[in-house]
Amino acid sequence: MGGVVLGGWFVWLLVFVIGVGTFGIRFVLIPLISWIELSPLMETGLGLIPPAVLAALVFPNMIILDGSLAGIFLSPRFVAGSAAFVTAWYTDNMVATIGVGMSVLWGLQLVFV
Amino acid sequence: MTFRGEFAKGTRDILPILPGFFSFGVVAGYAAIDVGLPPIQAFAMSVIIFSGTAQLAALELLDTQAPAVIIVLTALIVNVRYMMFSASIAPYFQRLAMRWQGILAYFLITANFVLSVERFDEDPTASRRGYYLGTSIPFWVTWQVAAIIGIVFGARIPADWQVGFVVPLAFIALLVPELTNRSKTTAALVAGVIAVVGTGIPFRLGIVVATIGGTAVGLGTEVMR
Repeated sequence: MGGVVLGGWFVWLLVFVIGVGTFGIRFVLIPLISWIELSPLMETGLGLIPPAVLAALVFPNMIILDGSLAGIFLSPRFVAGSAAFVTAWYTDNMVATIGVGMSVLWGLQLVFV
Repeated sequence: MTFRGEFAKGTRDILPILPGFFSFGVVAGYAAIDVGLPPIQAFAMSVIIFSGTAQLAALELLDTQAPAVIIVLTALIVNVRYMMFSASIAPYFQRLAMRWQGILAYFLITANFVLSVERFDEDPTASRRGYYLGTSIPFWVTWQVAAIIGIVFGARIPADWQVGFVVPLAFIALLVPELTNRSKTTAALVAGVIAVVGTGIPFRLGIVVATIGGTAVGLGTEVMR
């Protein structure tokens, strides 16, 4: 892992800053709401951020551009992630989604490695 | 209804979703250990931040040596939805002392928000603090116990089991229920594609670019409709 001293002050500082920031996000509008009103467009925009950022974090873990289509769509992580996606779609169950995704990944590893 | 009665009702209502979040809590606890944090920092993270999405986002970026500013901004950006939750639940908490507003805000997550607003509309005389805390405290305890289990047992999981993949899988489970309409699905698809193409952008700034791009295009489809 190199440069960052995990366990040191840097990580403590990060945890506290993110903690205070997260609390601020959760709290600030509760006392302020009588003065601030979000426009419908702003509300819609804020609502699009969660799916956007989640997809931005998920896709690069499943899809690695290596020059060949087969390399992308036959990679164990892509197949496992897709299976997890289908499971989440039909069950809306996190345990099942993680269970299916990991089972498929391990299964493919056993077959191909 | 009374504080106590509403607390019990809230607890009954939150119970079915706890197993799913238990596994997510284990993942979040494990992820901190996987990145290399000592157990005390891993657990402090779970208590102080109390947001799996923010914790996992921060850990993933910490692992890739991203600059602190990017880590903080990303961890906060993934939780901008909380701001809408707090805006939406604020009228119900308006008459409470600010001290109570602060306590309730700490616990704010998707599940207790959705359940509480539904309950407050259903019975305006119900003890709001009772119901809200009845959903929040069992969730909080479940989350922290799960974190401890992830921290303690995660440390013993061999690397070639690829348990790290549980993190994107958990994100998939969080993402899919978000895909409720065309603009959200568009935002996710566009952001995902930009993130893949932008993998080479340094310090994982691609994720920020992807999020902004996806949101903008998603909003565009909403406006044009």
